[in-house]
Amino acid sequence: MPDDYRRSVGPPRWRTSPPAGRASTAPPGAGLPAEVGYAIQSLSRASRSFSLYDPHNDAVKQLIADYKDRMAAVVRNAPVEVEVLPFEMTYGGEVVYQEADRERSLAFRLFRDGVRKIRFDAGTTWDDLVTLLEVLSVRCNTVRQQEEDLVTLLRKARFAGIVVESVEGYVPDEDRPEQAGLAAVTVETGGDTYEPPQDWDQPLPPVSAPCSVSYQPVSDAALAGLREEESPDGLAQSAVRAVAEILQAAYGLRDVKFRDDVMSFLDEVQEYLLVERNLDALSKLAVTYEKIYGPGHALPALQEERAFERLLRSVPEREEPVPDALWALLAGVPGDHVSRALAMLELGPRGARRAALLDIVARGSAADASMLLERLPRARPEFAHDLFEILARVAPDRRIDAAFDLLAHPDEGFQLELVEVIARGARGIRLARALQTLMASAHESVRIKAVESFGALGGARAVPVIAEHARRLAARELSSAEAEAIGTAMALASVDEAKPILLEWANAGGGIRSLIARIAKESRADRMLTYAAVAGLEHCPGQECDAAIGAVMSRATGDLRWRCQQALDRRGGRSGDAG
Amino acid sequence: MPDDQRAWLDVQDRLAQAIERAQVGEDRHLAQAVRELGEQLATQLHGLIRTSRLYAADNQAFDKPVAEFRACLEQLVNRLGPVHLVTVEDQVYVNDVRVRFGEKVGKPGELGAELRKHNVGSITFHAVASDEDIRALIAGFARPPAPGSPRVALTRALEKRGVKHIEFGGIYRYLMAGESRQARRDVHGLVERAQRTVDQMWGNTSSGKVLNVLPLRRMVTEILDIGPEDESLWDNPPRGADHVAHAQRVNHLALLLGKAIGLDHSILQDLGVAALLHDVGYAAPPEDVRTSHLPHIVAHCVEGARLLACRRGFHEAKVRRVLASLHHHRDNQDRRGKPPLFARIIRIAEDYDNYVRPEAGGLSPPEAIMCIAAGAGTRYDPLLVQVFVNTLGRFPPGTLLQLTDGSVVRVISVVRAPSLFATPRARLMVLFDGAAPNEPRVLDLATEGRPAKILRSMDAAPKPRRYH
Repeated sequence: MPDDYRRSVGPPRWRTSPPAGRASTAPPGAGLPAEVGYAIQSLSRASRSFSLYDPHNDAVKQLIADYKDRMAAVVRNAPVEVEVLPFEMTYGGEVVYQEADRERSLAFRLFRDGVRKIRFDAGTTWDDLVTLLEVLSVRCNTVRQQEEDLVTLLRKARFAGIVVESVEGYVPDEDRPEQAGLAAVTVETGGDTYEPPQDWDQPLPPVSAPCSVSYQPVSDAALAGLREEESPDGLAQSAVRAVAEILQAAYGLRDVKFRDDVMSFLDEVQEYLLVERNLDALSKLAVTYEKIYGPGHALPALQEERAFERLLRSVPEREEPVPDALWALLAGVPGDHVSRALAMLELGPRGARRAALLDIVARGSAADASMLLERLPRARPEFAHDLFEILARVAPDRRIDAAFDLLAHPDEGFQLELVEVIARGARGIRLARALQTLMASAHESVRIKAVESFGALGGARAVPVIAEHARRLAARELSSAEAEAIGTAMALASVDEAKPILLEWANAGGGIRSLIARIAKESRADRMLTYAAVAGLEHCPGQECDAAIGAVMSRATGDLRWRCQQALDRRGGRSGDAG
Repeated sequence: MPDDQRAWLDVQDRLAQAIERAQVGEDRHLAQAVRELGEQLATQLHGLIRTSRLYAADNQAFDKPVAEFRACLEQLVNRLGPVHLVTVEDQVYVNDVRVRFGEKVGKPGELGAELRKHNVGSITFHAVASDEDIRALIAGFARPPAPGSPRVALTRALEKRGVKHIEFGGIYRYLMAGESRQARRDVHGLVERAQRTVDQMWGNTSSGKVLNVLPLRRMVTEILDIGPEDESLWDNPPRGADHVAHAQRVNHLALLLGKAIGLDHSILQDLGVAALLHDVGYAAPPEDVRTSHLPHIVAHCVEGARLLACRRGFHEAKVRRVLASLHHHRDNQDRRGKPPLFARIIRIAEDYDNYVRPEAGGLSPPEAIMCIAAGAGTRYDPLLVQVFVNTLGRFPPGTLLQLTDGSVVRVISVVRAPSLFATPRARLMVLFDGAAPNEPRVLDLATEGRPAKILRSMDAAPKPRRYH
């Protein structure tokens, strides 16, 4: 090649083929270069992860956490400048990252897209690092866009502390151009030519009396106001306007082909608004669409199979009001909203999205609660209570049907509510079984309420059940409050059935047994049963009950003694020691 | 939820949304098609050149590969119009879309190396090449590069064999960020390239081919790098077909105005592209036009918006272009609401250029700017008009002035400072005695020469005298 034409760039300074052998994992050396290498690897893994996992997957979260930890070491030692080569990345001349597989190599991707250096300055923030990950993830997971490449995306990111050095397009580069020699050679460009109409862009605006011109300063504030019109915040509004006006034009032309041509633009804008979670703008678009095409014409996006789910995914999971626009949009979505909302609740949404879904169930169940009733038993504990409350509002008399299927719900407050509902509405064997289930609750307050209800409603048949329940509990842990409730419940259920048992618990029989009881210390279980006995005997007639209480009092100490005194006082008996 | 868990969730939400957003913006179908076909084309071309070392171009060993190459090229031309294959260092671009040439086999730079032997950095196929054309191309590359001007020699060799639609371009290299284009700029070349790009855009659009914004965006970037206020650009006005030159000038004026109001670089790029495309509605293929019953001043706005809206892939730039197309002649239509900023800017730029161009208004630039100023507050945004006036000055670039000494100059600068509002720099066209200048000369009217008269065209200027 003649010297005149030797390329100013020369041969590439870097390897253009991958290094031999398998890709390395840990970079060589130790100290900061190794830290940098680990950080680059973590960035690479995290940015590629979205091709395998949904961004909300726990695996992704782990990779992002790792990235954060690794990058912290880099930022601590800032500034750190990493040079990007086709298959490697270097720090201080040392290779810190190497990956020969083009599909996996971050270096290859960055280099090919024009990035040559990345510098992490001391001001690098976590937001910067997330933005960097965002940009690289997009490039790793989407087809190259028609308007923006990686370098443009990085430039638009406006990092606080990350500086990216990149190529800026290509330019002619010849020491001695051959233009002059080519002037005599003509190439037929062939292809398609175009001629506009003769009077294109005419008529011109009428020329009024010309106005003299002079320099007049324009304030910065005024210029800022102009620039503000093109801020990113206005894009949604502009997009809605653009599609609305072009649809209006299509409608005005009454041309189906024109309308079909621009439908793709409508699809894109709808998609954009859904991705941006901008329900307000989408709602405005829906209103405009209906105005143009007539009542009953809903946006195409709202007719899709996934419309419901996509709208609800656009509701944020923060604690904030549900967007008003959601309801207007949902009105245009066909199909069963209640079952879809119930299905989405299974995914465990939070915040406004959860509130919206529950509201949808409430609104839909007001007319017909059958779907709610059907799904309630299978609902996850996290929202079963909420659904039960909805049922209370829309069909209170049907709560009893659901209550029996929810007895295993772990929430204390909810269980208390269930006791109430069941006690009010159920009878017979269903009532008994339900209350027994609740008597076995992990929550004492629920057990107490259940046994009280059982005692109030169960009659004589309840007594042996409650007694057995008390014995079982006493063997594990029975508080005085619960013992109190048990004793009282037994007495209220049936004095005749309860008295013998209560007397036995109080060790009221005479003879050696009573003597032994006075001498030996009681076990805690026995003590609690005694407590129950005192509480129950308080409500039983007969002098033997007074005597039994007195006997307990004579050997009791502390709160049991005090309880005995209280019982006797209430019964109108004399206080004081028995013996 | 604990704050740290919430923070992680927010990050994951943000990443998910970024990917979704990007997916809305991609035109997977077209981009994939261009990349795949482009890769195929580059690979096949490389294969043909390598095979030429073993066999002569007319050998039947080339029958099948040549046919495959032609078929691939045909698909690309049908989609995109002229196909520009550019090699830059070890990368290959087809119509500004980077293709994965050689990556799979580990030889990405080889095609570029083959072309560089002949001082060729790019090949443009203006139309589908015949098998004979392709064989001629192979034969050309197979020969040793000619000493002196190898690219010219290659072009002549093809011309001799009747190849008319293949064009070679020079070597390219990457420009690093921060590296100034000033040192290496060839403004004349830039304006010519821009003209061809815009011309191709019109031609492609009129034949129903896909609108590719990337070459337009690249062109706008080059202008922004030089600076729309730079004298060299005003000193090299576009000279192609009227509608092409008009698009270039409107682009230039819009960028000037946009830069003067302080728009961000990326928004300026979008503005430039929108300005280049503002009249593209005129090029809508006749069979697709649905507005033929409307005056073309209105129809082209609507057709342009349709063409721009149809191009797949959501992007803010596209939204701006569509609105600009719809609104830039809005006083001829029933459009409501405040016109968007791009439309207001382009309207001023376009009307100004239409007032000036001989085929339309035929006014001088100072007359045109006074007409624009007269419409401030009614037809045009008064704030933008004032910025436009402040930037172009009393005698905007392109103004022909006869000075008091009889010489004629053409203004080439915008306003350099408020105090120089009416004293721009100007290129000397005709000397005081009617002679043409012996060498290029630029006068600073702040310090030398005083305007006496504004001329509407060089026809009104004294003819340079010839000395016998």
